[in-house]
Amino acid sequence: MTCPTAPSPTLFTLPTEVYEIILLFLNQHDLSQCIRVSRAWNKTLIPHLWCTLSFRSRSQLKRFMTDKVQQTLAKNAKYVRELHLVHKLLYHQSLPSRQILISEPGIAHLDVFTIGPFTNLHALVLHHWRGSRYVIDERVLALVRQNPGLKRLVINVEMDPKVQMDLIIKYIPNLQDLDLTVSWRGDVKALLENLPECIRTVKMRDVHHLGPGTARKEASPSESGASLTTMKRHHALEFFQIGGNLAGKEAEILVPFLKSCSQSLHTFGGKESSCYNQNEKITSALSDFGLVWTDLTGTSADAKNARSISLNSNLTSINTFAPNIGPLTVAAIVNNCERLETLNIIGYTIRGLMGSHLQAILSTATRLRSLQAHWLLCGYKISAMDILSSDWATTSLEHVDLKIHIPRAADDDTATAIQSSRDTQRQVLRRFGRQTNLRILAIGGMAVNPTTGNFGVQLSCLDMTLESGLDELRDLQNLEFLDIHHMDHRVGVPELEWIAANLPQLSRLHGMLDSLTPPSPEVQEWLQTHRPTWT
Amino acid sequence: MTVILVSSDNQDFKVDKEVAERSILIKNMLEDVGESDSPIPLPNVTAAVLTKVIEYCEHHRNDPVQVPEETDDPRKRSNDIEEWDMKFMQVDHEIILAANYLDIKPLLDVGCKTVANIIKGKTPEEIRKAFNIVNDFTPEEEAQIKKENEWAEDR
Repeated sequence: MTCPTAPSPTLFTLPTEVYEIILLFLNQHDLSQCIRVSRAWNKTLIPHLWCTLSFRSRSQLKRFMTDKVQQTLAKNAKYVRELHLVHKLLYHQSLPSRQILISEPGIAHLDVFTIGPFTNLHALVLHHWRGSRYVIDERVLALVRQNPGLKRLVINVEMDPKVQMDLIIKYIPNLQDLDLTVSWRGDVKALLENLPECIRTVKMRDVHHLGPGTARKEASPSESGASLTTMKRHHALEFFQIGGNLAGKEAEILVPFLKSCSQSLHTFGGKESSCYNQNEKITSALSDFGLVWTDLTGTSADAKNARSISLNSNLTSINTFAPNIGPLTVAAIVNNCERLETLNIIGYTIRGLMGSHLQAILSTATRLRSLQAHWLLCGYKISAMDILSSDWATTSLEHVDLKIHIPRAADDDTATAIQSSRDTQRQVLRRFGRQTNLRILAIGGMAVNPTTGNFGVQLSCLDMTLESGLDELRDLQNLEFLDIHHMDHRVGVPELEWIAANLPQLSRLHGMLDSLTPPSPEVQEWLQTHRPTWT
Repeated sequence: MTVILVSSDNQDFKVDKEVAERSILIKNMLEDVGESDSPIPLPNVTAAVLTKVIEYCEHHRNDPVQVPEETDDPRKRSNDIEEWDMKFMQVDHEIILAANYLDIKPLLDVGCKTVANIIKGKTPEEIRKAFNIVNDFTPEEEAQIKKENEWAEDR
């Protein structure tokens, strides 16, 4: 488990699979610093730094194109697994070039491609470049042939359709992920039937079908004839997206292709169009997989969710994972929340759901019983201002789990600032105190510094002291669970006595003992003596 | 229902089954063994570390099981560690090893994020300080490496 050349006890003495997880959290810049730490760090991390060659800015590309780096490239190109060609210069430098071996006009002409710097690629992304057409085709083909390990190909550059087709069906036997962003004209049927057998995802944004007859100039008849009889199996295909125009041959092209797939297929769709989703043959073939034509032209999951939420006017319950929630879904929820009883958002990395949206929902949804958005983080926390800005429509809240941002005063602030913070907190708790059906109340603040977004600063959560309005919860006679987690324990003996006397149904006070700051000796002593059932 | 876990230094820990099953290793073991009261030996984990791991699992016993997230960016975010977890992880990397061995993915992730956060935003010199590493490059070598790789820096 211990690497003999380990430079530090904290990184490389961890098993490889563990420190590789750590590296996933570091970006290119972080790695560029790490490789300068020591010889051992350099040796271990150089392959990781060079693993993905992509550029976020013009200035970064400029720095890359210097002579010094180009010399290093020869040494480090073998580590590059993912190459993003984003610029004309980069294309020219990365692609193998043509060398003439023999040139005797009228007798013999022989030329070969040099071996380019990259031979170990797993992913190749060809970005848009104006004026590329036909200039680079053969060199791209040469690059691909020098990289038999390629699994992912993204083409967003204009090339000869015939060369693209060859690239995909002949020269990348292990292709798993294909993303054809650029418009492509050709025999779509032949392309699909000959996709490599291990293909997993296919995105073809804009294809225009030209049948074998019309495409004869580009594909020889024998080739397209053969494709009809030798349809490959596509057992691994999971995701398929098609856009563009299949010239009335939708079913003729897609149904046989579907039959070559297996139950791995979970998404099949493209643009929302009657020629696909109202075509009986396609619908029936899809239903064999338990699938329906999926509209993939919007922004994926977000658009899909938003659509199904706005179409369902009887919506009463939303349970969803946060990654599926984006701005469109949030807007749909807010616009269609009148009958909503339950809104549970599980998981973190929420995009688009703000505290202000929660407030909009609270002021509209008259039947809301459960509102859980536990993972709402940092800037997205609902603020005291949001809470107090308008009345709540519901009086039936039973379960609330969210984080509230409070302008909280430090101990050494002025008396006015402290009092102002306490007043705000009291008003917030008064809101919750009116929800007499509440059984579970988890509004403990996540400790985030609102300016930096970093954790570790206990500035913004509810005090939960009597001075700051804990007694506003006096009517919550049904309360079973109260969360004061993530607090820095301003809660003292008076609060505990108040809780014991006023909340008869309480069975759990969460976050008192298993917390960051140990409770004060007085509190510990009180807990020892009284042994309340809820700790 | 409870299970008994035995640390490498032979201490017994009585734990709710639900809590113990946050460890996929233990969950699989329990499934293999079926209904049984026999203690589960964990020869790679000391009592001190096991105490901490159990504390973590208790704290997170009600968390939903994580689903793999679909994201276009293979680089992960590291700034979303819960504060409780952050304080908790200030211990040492033995917890990371235990999380790896016991197969507790969320704990392993939090541990790895914590280490990554130590590195993030630091200069090479600050990283050396943080990990107690001696700079064994000559100044010329270091300048050379910087030149060759500074294309990757954020500027």
